[in-house]
Amino acid sequence: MTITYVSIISCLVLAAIPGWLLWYFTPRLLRITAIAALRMTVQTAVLGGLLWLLWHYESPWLNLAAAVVLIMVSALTTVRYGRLPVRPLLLPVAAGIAAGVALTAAIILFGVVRPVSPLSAQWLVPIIAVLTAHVATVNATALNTYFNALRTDRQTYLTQLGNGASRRQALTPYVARALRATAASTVGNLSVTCLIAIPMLLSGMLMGGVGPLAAALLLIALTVGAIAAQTIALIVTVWLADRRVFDRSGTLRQVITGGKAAAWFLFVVTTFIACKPNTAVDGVPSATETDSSVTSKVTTFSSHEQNSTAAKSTQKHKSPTVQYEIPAPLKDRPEQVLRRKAYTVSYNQDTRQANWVAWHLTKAHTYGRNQRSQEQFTEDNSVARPRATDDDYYSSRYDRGHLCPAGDNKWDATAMSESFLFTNVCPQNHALNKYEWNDVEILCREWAREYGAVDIVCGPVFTETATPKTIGRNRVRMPDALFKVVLCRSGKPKAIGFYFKNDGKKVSIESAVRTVDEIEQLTGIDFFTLLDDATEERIEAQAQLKDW
Amino acid sequence: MLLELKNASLSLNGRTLFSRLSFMAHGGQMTCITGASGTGKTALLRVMMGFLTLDEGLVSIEGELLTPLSAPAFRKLMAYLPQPEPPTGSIVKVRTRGLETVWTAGPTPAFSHSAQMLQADNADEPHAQEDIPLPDICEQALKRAPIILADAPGLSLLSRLKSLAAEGRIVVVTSCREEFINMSDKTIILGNDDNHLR
Repeated sequence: MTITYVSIISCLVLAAIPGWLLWYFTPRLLRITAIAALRMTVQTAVLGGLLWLLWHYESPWLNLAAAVVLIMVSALTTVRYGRLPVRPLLLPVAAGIAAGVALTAAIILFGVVRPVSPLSAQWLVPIIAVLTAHVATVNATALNTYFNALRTDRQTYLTQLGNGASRRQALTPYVARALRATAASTVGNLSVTCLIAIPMLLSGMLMGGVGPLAAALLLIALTVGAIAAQTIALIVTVWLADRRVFDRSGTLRQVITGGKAAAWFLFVVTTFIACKPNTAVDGVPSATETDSSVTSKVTTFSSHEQNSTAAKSTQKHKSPTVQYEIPAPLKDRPEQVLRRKAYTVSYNQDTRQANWVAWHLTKAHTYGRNQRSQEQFTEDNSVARPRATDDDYYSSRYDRGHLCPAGDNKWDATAMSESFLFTNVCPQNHALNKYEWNDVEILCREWAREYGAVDIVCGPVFTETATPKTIGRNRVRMPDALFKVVLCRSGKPKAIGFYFKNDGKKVSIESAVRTVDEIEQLTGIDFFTLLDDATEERIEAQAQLKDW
Repeated sequence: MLLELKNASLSLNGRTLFSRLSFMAHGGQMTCITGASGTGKTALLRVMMGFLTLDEGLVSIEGELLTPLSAPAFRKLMAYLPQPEPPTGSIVKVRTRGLETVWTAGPTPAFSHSAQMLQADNADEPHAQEDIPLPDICEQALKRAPIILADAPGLSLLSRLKSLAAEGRIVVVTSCREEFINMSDKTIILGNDDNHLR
């Protein structure tokens, strides 16, 4: 096989076709795509150059050094994408990956593949690369879940210890959560692997001269090895990190974040060398999200040590001074009203979810840099147990449907995080969440941009029944329908309501339109009480989508 | 059984919570630690469990020093009832069936029902969570542990804690409630300037 520089450059002419189409339909995307393509080309060229060096010198020591570099890059990537503090955790993470990858690579090389020279560049480097890439992808999520759970739910840990549990016993629930996150990520990875990676890898091996059967067997070995490596890496990392994360009395240490130099080093190395991990689709059936393409489950592991007043400290978020409509107090059902940075929620202990969620969506709030890909759904400690958890949704076939959508909270990191609390979530039919409900959310953002701001209230609707349908151990009640009402104060005030059955049957937005009066009848909630009576009466009695 | 604090001083984040605090909690007694919010009631319980280390002074159980190394062994003698989780959001109010209860309010909300918002009498007393069942591990520990540490327990636990003390166990509770203070055999009042025994 001979590929010359001239032939590869002429091949790039092919890029003119998608380039022209992008320029024609969405010119803004052309620049982004061109930058991404250029970066990929440079990365591939650099990687190709490094591999050429390894092949050229063909030294086992050099190959082992390359393996060490790959492990370090994997560790850096894990720490970066897991949002973990560099200084205390880089070495444990690296050691964990080294242990997991070395063991599984040794078994694959010496036990399964058994090539003539296992430490050659042809075998050692690709196998280590595949394993480290997979471990970095999955363990970033797992370790983030582990440390984030420890940070946010430290009381459980202290309660376990305070009642005589050993450190290992007290940490078991957190390790279990991390393993669950790993499992979810792995399932997602595998589904992507089967569809995309395996055909590509197989093609590569077939073109490299490996027979079809040997290539398939090698892929199976690599897949199993990758799963084993990730688990070993996680356990070893947690074990090694123990002394760095906890002090002698068992208290979570003040987390030391890396300095600017470390951050820059991380940025340069991981951006340049590593491909972006966490692009796997979350395999959890209920995890379907609608207004973002990336669904990795990572949240910030902040450096705040929580002490006895930790819960109160979160109350110190600056409260926006925006005045927005929240419904009248509910007389006929339990209600706990919680004020978040971006929304207000009326929580119902009986249904384990909101009665309603209200927020004020401005034009500015429809933009922002805070992406949902860095968040994960979180149990809301503000409300009493039993309350909704990830496990309740995990085993159900329903989506964790946002009420105040993540897409309305990109403007602020806290707002984005709080939108992932389970008190802002209800069990939602996948099709509804993905299509109609998402369409209305997008519509609301368009209105906010057009009118400057809108007030929104939405929530679940339950019909009276002797045997209400619930999901999960905590018996989160299944809504029969969902409602949304929108108020525009700009110009002549107007309002519109939407009502969707939670059964996933396809309906047009037009047919879901209701007047606010109708929604009030269906829900028993009194909306827009701040308005003067005449205006309230007028706008609640009529709703026309064409007026918007 | 005897739990003793002697000349105990503790500072957190540069603020002295209590200094030169001494008391003994005997088996068969219920001791109530009280004081305004932020005076270190919960911190004192954590000192007794060995999660926090004193700046000065000592904690001993049956005459043996509680240190970071010995704490895990001593914790096997303890049942710890954590404070029911206070809300993390800025709660306006809580209404449970048949009982209107008010939580602490965060920054004054500027939305429609702010006028109905009421201030709680005591900011860190989770009145609304009286009926929250204890975690299993606490229930199990309560059956066997000779030392019981309860952080701001609900009123529903008062008689139970009292009867556990009557069985000869050491019961230490933190609370601002009159009911607990009145029913306790000993009360330690924590304040910013002075701590004293009643």
